[in-house]
Amino acid sequence: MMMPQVKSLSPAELARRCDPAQFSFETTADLNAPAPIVGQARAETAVRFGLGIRQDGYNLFALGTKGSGKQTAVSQYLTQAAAAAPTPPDWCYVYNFDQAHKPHALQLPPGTGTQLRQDVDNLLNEVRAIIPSTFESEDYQAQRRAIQESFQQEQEEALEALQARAQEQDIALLRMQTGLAFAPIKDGEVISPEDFQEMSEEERTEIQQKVEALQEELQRIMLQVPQLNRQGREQIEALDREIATATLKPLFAELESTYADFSDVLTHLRAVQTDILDNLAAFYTPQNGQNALQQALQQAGQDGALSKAAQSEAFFNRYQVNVLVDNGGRDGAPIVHENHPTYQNLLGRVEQVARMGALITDFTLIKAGALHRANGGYLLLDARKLLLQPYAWESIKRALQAQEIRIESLGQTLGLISTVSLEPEPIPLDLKVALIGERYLYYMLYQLDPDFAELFKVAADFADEMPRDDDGKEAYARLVSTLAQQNDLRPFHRQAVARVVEHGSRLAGDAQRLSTHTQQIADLLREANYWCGEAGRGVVQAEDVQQALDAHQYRNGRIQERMQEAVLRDTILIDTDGEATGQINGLAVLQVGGYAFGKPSRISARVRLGKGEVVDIERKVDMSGPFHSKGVLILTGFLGGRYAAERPLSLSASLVFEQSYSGIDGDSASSAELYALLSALAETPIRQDLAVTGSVNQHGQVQAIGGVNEKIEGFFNLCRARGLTGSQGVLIPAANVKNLMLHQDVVDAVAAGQFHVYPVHTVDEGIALLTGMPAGAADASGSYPDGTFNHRVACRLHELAEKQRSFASGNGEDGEAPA
Amino acid sequence: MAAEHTIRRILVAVDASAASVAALEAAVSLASDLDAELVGLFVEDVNLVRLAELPAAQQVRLISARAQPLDRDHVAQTLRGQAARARRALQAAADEADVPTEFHVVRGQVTAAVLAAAAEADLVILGRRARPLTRRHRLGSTARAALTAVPRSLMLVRPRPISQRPVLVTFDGSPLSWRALRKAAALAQATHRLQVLLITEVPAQAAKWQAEVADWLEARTQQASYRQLPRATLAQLVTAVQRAKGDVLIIGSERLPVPAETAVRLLAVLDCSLMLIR
Repeated sequence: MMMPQVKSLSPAELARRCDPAQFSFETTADLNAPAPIVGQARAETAVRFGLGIRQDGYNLFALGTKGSGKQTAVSQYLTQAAAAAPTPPDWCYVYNFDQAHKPHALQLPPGTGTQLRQDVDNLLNEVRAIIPSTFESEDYQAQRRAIQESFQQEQEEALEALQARAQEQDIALLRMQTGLAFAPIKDGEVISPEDFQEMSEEERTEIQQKVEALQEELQRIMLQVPQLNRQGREQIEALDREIATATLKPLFAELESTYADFSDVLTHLRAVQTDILDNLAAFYTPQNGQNALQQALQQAGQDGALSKAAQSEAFFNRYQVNVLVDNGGRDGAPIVHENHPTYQNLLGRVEQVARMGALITDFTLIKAGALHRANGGYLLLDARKLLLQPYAWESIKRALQAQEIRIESLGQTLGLISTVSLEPEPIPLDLKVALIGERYLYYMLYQLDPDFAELFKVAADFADEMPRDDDGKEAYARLVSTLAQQNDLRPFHRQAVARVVEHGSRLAGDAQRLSTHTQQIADLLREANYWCGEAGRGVVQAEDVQQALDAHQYRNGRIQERMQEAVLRDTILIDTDGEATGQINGLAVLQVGGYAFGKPSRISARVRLGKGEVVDIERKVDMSGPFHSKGVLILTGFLGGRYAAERPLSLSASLVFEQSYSGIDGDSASSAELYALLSALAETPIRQDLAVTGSVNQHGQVQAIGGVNEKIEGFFNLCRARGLTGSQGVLIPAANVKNLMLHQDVVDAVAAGQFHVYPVHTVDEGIALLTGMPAGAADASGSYPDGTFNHRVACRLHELAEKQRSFASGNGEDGEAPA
Repeated sequence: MAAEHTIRRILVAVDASAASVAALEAAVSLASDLDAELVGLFVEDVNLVRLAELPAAQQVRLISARAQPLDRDHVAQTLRGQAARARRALQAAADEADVPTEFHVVRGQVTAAVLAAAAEADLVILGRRARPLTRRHRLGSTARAALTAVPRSLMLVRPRPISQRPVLVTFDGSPLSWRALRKAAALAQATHRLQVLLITEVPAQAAKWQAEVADWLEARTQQASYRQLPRATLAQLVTAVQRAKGDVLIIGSERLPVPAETAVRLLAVLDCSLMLIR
């Protein structure tokens, strides 16, 4: 039974042209509306859902191929959502007067944080000016002197009285270097030892007694001194406090009324006031007339490690307000894109300064992280970058789970360093995180991290391609227009746009779809713009786009060219005419650094008597992947099922990719392998001016494969280099016709009848093309008609089986193994 | 012009007190400027020595108010140590200013010893008070005695001089005034702050004197501020010093003979150093 010969495809089927006439514009300059995100309806729905739902854990993971415009799209959706969201509050850190290492966090309405900082700075400046002037005032000094004098006077009067009493008794009070002493005097001079000796015993005893009495009195007076001093100090302190309180009250009252609605701020302001009163000495250093105690303190301060000025400036830091997050001037929620998501950049950090060789810190050195800045809004992160930063992923999960931002030094957390640090009060976190990453990251995280599914409930899956319908093409045109504007490119003529659409299909590898890989499209536009500029044109034409594509191909084509050269010089043996048995041209696709091209490859098969196995030489040497091995095993299934269902398959065949020195994978060569095997079995030559691609199943149906365009072009280029004979062509699976977006050269050659592309449904169709013989269909008894290819195969297998049987029964003719 | 009454010997009494350190500083700057010889005097107070020799002598320690037996050797050693310190301080200050010095240590009643030594000096410089028992004694007994007993020029120095404050000097055109001005200029050398109190009721006279003084100071590359006082009464002098926040007041005016009693009253009110030119 004859089967109709497969027809070569028409040029129109080889590449689906885009008709520029369908575009209503002349150049993209006529298009004003910005491009919507094209072809991402599913992702868009997911993003909108994710942003709309204000529940915990509904964070977003935008997954898709790199360069597919995820970030642009997510940013665009976020911008819309953020504008409508309320502006989040400001956050400040202030000193904790009870526990200095645990700074307090203050929440304030947007813009009020900087206001508070300014107000407090002004207040402090006023306090620092007003306190010294208060204490220098005559009024205060007089009160202070009165207190001091009242105590000193008491002592001095007592001493003077004692001195006077001593004098009455002819005894003088002498000042020694380290103390005071009483001495009997005569004529204003201390009695000499000789005179003293001359006195009577009674006189001497009397003097002794007087001196002792006076000495006791002196001791009593002197013992009172510290107590009196303390009392004096206390009274002066009370006076200072009273006067300072009266001075500060009006200053603070003004601020307190401003911030009356914020109880945290009021609490803090009160603490500031109390602290100033407790530390008045820091605000006022008495110049003169100070008491001994103050002098001593001053002395001690100067001898200390820190200079007085540095010490006091560091002291005043405590009253400052550290505005961590300032949302003043913002309208809507913040969107923060942290490009370098380190632990510290995310969670914030507490910096330290070196002072006198030591690292010290305080709350003014707390710096905000991306979480702080994005709090109340959206944080956009690249998943891969995030995962690459040590501890960043764990920390962001912890923050999202605890719903608070807790600043901890990484060194401290790990126990690596122990220096003075702070434990700032955690700030409540209300944030949506949008992670952007490739699909494998999403699935890997989902599988390996139990927290992931809990925290990132919304997956926005960005499609790689979209239908090439009218809407799609229109959207593409708008995309070209927008990209041209964004990149400052010349306008694109509609013919150029049509060419871009065609290339979009080629990128998608499908005549009915368009690639959504905007990055590649943008690259093409930029390059076309360059060539347009080189050509001195004002509007980018189709030829510029073509030039960009050709130039890109040429730039990346070194390896491709070297390979073809090797074939042309017969280093690699590939025939493109004639016929040969057990030998066929397969087609492989090579991907080198983002550039893919097709490469013909000779596949050969030999058969001999054996036990029904097909040896895949590639697999034997571990140069093939599992898909390839699977394809070869399917061949055995096909052979056995079709030709040897009722008897043993008594052959041993070997299959090899000739001159392949690297690995190989994929099942797209399985139909070619089958043809080679059948040719070897049937001992029937097959055409070498045809190349074959397509996988095959156990029933002999030819199935779709990938990279069909590159494969056809690979063989075409080789044939063209040797000179087209008019009979050359490629067999492709019929299912791949929809994927054809071939280079114009191929299309032209086909139109001129110089080259052919055959869509093949079954192995039999392929065999008919390759051998020129009908394949033949089995009749009811399972036998094939004479003169058909399948008949030959069946006969040969029958022969082999007979020989096998004769060997098995010991009746072999001469014991030789069959060839 | 100025009748230069040459000062060749300056006597400065030094002990371990803050006032005597200040006295020493003033003495060195004057001696340097006037090309005079500086004579340091340390008096070992015989009263202390005697007290230490009395049986069962005790002192009450200032820090602890504890009674402690006095040891003769210890007292003598302390006095020798103070004398050595005073000598070193004098030597160091004088060496720096390149002033020739002598240093004497005598044992005796402090006031008598100082006054005896003062007889040979052209200018005597003392601390206003040594270590006072109470703040209210602004004038020590030696200083008080020196006011009446020293026939020549005398300077009583306050403890802890405030160097940025001005030197004030009275001026009435007399030779004594010029001598006073000479000393004032010497003391103000370091600070460049000098105020001349022109004692006259006649503004024209004041202007004339001011021009003369300014010329003379100009030659020394010094400047001064001027103030006219109609009369050099106690009250007016006190006001002038207080208003200028003066550190030193130098009085050398024939119209103001300054009996010792006036000086005592002045010092009772004022906290500054005082120099009397005689």
